[in-house]
Amino acid sequence: MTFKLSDLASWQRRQWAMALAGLLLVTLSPLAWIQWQQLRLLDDVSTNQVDSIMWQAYQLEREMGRLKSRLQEAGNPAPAITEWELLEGYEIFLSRIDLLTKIPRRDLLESTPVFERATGLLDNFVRQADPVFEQPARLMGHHEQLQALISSIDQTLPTLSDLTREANRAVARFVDERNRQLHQQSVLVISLAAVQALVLLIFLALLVRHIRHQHRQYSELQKLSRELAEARDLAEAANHGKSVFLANMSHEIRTPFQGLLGMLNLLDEPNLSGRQRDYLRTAQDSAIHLLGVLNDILDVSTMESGTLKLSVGPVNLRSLAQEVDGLMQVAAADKGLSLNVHAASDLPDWVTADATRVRQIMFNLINNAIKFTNQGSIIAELSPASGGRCGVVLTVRDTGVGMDKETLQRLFTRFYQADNSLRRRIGGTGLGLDISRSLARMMGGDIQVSSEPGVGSVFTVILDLPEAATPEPERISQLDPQYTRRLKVLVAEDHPINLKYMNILLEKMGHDATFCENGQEALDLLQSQSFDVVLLDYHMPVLDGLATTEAIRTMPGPASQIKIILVTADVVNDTRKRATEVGVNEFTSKPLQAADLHRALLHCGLLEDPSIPETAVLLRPTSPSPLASYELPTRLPESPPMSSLIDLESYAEIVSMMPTETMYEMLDTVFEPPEGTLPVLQAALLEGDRDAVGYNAHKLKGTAMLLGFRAIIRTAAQIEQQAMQTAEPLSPDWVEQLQRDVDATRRALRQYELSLTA
Amino acid sequence: MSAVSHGLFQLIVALILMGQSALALALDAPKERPVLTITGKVGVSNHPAGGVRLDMKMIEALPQHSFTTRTPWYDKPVKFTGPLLGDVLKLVKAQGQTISATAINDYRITIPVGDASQHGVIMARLIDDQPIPVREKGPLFIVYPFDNSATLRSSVYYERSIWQLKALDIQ
Repeated sequence: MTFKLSDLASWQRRQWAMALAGLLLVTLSPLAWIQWQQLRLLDDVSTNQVDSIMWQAYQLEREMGRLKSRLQEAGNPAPAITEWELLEGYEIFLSRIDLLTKIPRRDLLESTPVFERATGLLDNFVRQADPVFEQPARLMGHHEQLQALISSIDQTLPTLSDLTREANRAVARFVDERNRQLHQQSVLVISLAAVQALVLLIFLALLVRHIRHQHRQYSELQKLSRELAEARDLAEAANHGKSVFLANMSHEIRTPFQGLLGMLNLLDEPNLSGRQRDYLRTAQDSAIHLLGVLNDILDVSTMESGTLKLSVGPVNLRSLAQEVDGLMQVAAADKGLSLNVHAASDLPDWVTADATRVRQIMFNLINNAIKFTNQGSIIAELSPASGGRCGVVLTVRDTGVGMDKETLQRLFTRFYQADNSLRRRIGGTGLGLDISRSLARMMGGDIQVSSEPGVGSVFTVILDLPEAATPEPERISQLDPQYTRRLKVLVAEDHPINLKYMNILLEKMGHDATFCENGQEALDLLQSQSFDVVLLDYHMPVLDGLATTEAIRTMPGPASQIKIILVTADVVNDTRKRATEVGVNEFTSKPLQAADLHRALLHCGLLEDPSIPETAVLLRPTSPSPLASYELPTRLPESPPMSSLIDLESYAEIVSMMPTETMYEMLDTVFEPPEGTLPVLQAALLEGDRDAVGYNAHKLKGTAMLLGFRAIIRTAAQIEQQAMQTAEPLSPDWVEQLQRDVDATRRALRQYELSLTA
Repeated sequence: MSAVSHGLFQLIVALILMGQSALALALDAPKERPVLTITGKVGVSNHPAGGVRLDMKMIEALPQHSFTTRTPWYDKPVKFTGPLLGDVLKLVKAQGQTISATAINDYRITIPVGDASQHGVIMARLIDDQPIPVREKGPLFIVYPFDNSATLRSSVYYERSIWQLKALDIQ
């Protein structure tokens, strides 16, 4: 009766049924047998009328007595009975003998000596009487014969009395025996019932244990599942936190990193020795590579946190193909490969897509193809999807090293690279394909690969890009102030460069901008003046963007209803969700883009103009491409002598955006005494006012970065660094150094302008 | 023609004779020594003192039935043969509810009339196809078919099985 619980738990219904049936059989069949025995006993008693034996013995004795009295009567001279009645008496007596000696349970009596003696006497009597009763008429009055019979009867009667008593005892013995049997059977029944109860109890106990065990298992499972859920929540929170952190950090790192890159560019002067130039090139390559890695990580983390959103618009695929072709040719040529990027003739001109992301996929795949191809060609083709499917297919074929099946299976695994030995040589994060696939899936498509080792690989990307109508051509060109309503814009922005930049941008877009440095100032201004829209930086001193929004929404009067656009570098949706909750109307990314701002204003219902076409943004060289920049096969151009002083690209961009007089005004705010930042800084340096030096150096640096004045950026950064982060005494030499930089910059500017007019 | 009328005549005579003998059976006095006296509420009589006297011939004339059953008085199953008690009661046009039966040895027992039809009770005159002498509980023996039902195997019915029967009194 010892079962292991595990055995019990694994029992099937059939096994349970068999165990129960067995148990019932074992306990119930003895019971049934006993019942059967008792039934038989009762039947025996009733059928055989066991106790009648006593009655029969007594009747025999009595009948013999009656026969005796009839015989005596027959001896009377005038007998009261007939010979017939005498014979009848004898016959009845004879029947009584049979009744006693032939009944079924005569065995109770047969074995006793009394019975033998009695039957002997009776036999003698019958032997003596039978011949006499042949003629009963002669017996009547025949005293001799009658007397002989009577004396025989007298001899027999005492034995018959003994027989009656013996019968009584036999019945009593029988009853005793029956009682003993019944008693035994009762004991047996009780024992069996006890065994049955015991077995049932054991079963019950096992069942209870089993149920408890299950219950315990269930609660353990529940506990485990709770813990797992908690762990999952924790992990998710941690993961989300990590994604947010990564997104923020990548962004945070990128900003100073741009500065680092700028600085590296500034170092690139013509008088460098070959070795220095080599070091610098290495530093630049490493920096570009690192930036690419950062961008990849930013992409993955935004995808993971689910905050990556496609911003779709009309895209000209042919232009896109040309652009990618132009950018990748250098890298292909470097490896001696022929690259052909083209769009099929039946490709729709315009599709609705996120151009940057489509371009990113193309860059990734073509760049991979270049990386893994040592000789031959790479062909990338954009064609319409076949088989009636709506969409575009990008096919990239190479004649590279190819991949075996195992590699193909693991190809899209994050951080996986096809060939570890190639890893160091080629570099990269191993995130490219993962990102590309995620992007393709976001666009309702996927990436497929087929490859043969030593022959080459074919990557096929299917993108669900609906065809779009051709946008109005005149709107592609420029941000024309005449097409937009002139808005009064309040900008809260603490960073001087951004502030300047936004000033220029808004002016270029034809809006009136008022600036303040933090949220509190914005609130003050809103109370005194009326504006169409407020641009709030997310991170601000005193009162940040969200707090300011909340404060604005609780202001009295119409000012609380003003449209609020949050300018944020935060790509995390949580931020946007919270911002929307406190009352932010729209978002623009940072650094602010004209198209982005335009879109935001449009969404706020402040402009009637339907759109600024995406292409205007697409083709802007400064668009903040999420593309991993290391994957851009860019090679930093050989610096002209001027490049150490001025970043001509940045400068040209600013100039192109601003009316000439504004440009001059802006330059004045830098250079013109007494208010210009530069003279103020110089004065502060001379006075030794460390705070003022730090603040103005920062301000100068920002403005210089915006304008691309590299020499000034460099010096201002050094001054700022010394003033803010060291306790060294401020060297008055800085004044002269600044002056030299300014002079050199001005000369360079003049030279540049001359070159333009020439 | 003559053969047909002759046959018809014979048939009619036979029918008349049969009718007469059937009527005479209930009413005829026993030709031999009577073995059974039936008194009380009976519809016919064949004796000056009232009631009916039946000899063994008259009992044999009734439809005979047999069954074999175990009894408390024999150590093996025994075959009983005789008329149904019900037929005997019908013969004498008995109208009572109970039968008071008396044996030669003066044993007395009351039998409900219902038993006769309900249990198929026999008034046995043969045991194992042999006439029953008085010394073997004869000449008449009222027997229930005990083996037919457990209900019958009880002292109530064993008591009602009266042997050496000599008289029935219908009440």
